[in-house]
Amino acid sequence: MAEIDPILQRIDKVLKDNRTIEIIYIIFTIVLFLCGITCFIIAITTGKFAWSTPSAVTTAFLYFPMKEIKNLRKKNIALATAPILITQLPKAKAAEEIQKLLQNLYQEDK
Amino acid sequence: MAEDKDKTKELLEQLLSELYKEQSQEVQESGESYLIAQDEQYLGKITSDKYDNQSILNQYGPFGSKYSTTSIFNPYSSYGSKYGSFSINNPYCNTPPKLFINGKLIGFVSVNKYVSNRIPTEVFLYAIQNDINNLLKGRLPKNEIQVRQEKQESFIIANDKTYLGNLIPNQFDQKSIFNTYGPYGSEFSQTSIFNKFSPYGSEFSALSPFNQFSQTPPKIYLNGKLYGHLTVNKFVAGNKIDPKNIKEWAKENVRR
Repeated sequence: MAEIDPILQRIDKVLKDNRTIEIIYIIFTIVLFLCGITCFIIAITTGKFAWSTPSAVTTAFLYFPMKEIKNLRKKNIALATAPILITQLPKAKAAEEIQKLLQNLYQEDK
Repeated sequence: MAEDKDKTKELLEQLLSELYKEQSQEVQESGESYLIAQDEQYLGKITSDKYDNQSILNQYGPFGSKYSTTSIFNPYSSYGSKYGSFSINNPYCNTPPKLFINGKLIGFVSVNKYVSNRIPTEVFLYAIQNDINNLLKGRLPKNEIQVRQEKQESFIIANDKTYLGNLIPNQFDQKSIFNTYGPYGSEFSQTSIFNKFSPYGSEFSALSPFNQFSQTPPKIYLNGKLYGHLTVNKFVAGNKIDPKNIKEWAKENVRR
């Protein structure tokens, strides 16, 4: 690749978009967590333990945003690695490594 | 692509594609055996060395990677897609890639059965993946049926040797007769037994399984072996499967 600057700009743009999505997931996680805690406190204070059921459910739902946040971070690492591979390795090797990165990231058939 | 909105994947694929494109532009036709498109794009060397960067078999090279725009293995490239103008997989392409072995033109690799001097795509792919030494001597497997038998596929074939699709009971398999949107399962496709107006689906065609009097209905191959005929004609000798019951039969018998 002739110029690394345009590549870095494209990567930065995607990283920025990923960051926005990550923030949305974090907010979603916090809301779920607060709902769970609130229900749990109500259960304790009122002595009506039926209130602890929603907290268990919301805790289970935390799995999905947490998983997405983890995936996004993995993608960000891959994106940050790409320019290093392109600049430091010969083209053929860089292509091979980026392809492996893609396949690992998306668990595609090799 | 599966995840259209995944910008990370999109960007990494773009970068990869650009890297492969640059590599393919630097390549000079080398070696005596190679595949070349009719727009003069070199499509890779035919060699038994999988690690040669120019090899058509190098899955990390510009001609073997499924992410490269100059690879026949990229289902979205001009040379590998179903709709590509120079593709080996486009059934309507009249300008498929040329195969040269030891400097001599052997034929045109295509799924389009109307191309003259054609090497069926299935035969070519089988040869490069399983029998490259014979291919380099200019010897190809005899025909598509033989290759599919070697691969232990379950499929149907018309009496005029036209491939009519596989019997995998998966409605999303592009080559399955059970995919109602695919070339072998759609009621509008000329190569589908379910098209009442095609030679392979009409009640009046001798090649059709729905003709009660036909003595030449399609043959069924089960896991590479000839099983019998697909027909509504009760008087055909040997095993017979009624086309109306083919799905149930496939579910019970065909390996996925």
